Amino acid sequence: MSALRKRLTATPTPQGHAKGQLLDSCPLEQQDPWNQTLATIATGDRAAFADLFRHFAPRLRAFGAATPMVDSPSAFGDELAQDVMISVWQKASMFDPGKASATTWIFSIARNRRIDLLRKRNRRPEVLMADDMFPDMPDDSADPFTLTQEERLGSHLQDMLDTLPAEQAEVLNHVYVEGKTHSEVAEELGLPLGTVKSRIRLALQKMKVDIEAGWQP
Amino acid sequence: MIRHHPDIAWLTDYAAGTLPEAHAVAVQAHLHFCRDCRAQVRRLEKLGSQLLEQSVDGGNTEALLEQTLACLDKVPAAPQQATAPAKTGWDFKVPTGLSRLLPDAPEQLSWKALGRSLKISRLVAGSDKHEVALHHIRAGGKVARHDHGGNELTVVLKGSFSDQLGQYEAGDFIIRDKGEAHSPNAAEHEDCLCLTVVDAPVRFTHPLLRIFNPMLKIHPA
Ligand SMILES: [Zn+2]
Repeated sequence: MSALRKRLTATPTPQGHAKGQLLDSCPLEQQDPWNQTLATIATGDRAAFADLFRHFAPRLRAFGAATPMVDSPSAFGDELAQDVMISVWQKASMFDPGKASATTWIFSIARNRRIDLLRKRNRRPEVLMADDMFPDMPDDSADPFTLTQEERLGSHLQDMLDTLPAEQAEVLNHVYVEGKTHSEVAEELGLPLGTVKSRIRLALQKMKVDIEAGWQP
Repeated sequence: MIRHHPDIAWLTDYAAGTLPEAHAVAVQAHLHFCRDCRAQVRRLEKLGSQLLEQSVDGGNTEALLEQTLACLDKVPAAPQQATAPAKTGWDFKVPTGLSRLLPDAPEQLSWKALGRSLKISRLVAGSDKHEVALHHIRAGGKVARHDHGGNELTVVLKGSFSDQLGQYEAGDFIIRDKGEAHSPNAAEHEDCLCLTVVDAPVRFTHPLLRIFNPMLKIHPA
């Protein structure tokens, strides 16, 4: 909670807003109702855990079952959902709503556990675990510019997702939910890699996820 | 100042968790240095959470819930620390992803000298498709002009180097496609250390090019 408290402490920024006001103006963290549920789970509350489970397990199961190249998608979906929910139970006290919303935090656990479970299934050597490749990033939220960018993205993402052309939503789904690289998506759809890349880039720009226009790839 | 970043496709594949381990480690090494790309990754993860929110199956999960609740009694309250301990014997702050692959200090690695300026140490990364290595160029040293049989990804960890295409400093993320020959040159005042990831397998067969094979030969490990 310390990071959140730090952000709520009103400090004038170059824009003339207090950080506390910025947070209030478009508070994704406060709009994610699961933040509070996670805090309750951290106290060992099983009823809160069951609430969270009933919402996320069907999503995590679909996420797992969408994984290509597993022999039994629905069994893998169950396995992943259960594994992620147990991790959530274990790690709930480490959840910091100042860094990410509950849903984003749970997404990152699902991504990481899928990688590790697949590696185990394929009997590949366990040298690098997902937590090594996706360590906690430093808290950059004290920087007013970063914070403003985050707020701008805000909670409109869901609405913007709904307005994407089908072909753009489709490729995003292939990458995030099915866990395929740009190249694998291109192969599957029979499209040139450049087309897949530009569809994703267009979608990200439209949703203001990709806002770093100044630099060269 | 960092001038060379992974493009949005790289960052998206990273945030979605689809990159091979060796590439994810290289992107993480860049993120270690680059606040802009960290912010980009946070937004991409937020997008991932919304896509997860939308993907839902209609099936019943009550049985799975009962099963899971029964498991909660058996699991430890908090999982053990999963990331590798910080490596303090190096003269730069080792990015977290890379620290799993490094010993406590550079002397504990076996280095292979390739000429007077360059030494290479291969890292065991558990990948059968990529070779991961550290390249160390002595201050002021020049590396002979060479080609890459496969794509080569470089992240500068310490110091700086330049080649025909530009100048690179700590944090820079550089992709050299197959066939782009270059001869890197470390800055005069400081040794340069880079993380490299090369696609496997690669082998030159032309007699005149064989002399480069020790440098280019791929040893996935
Ligand atoms: Zn960057």
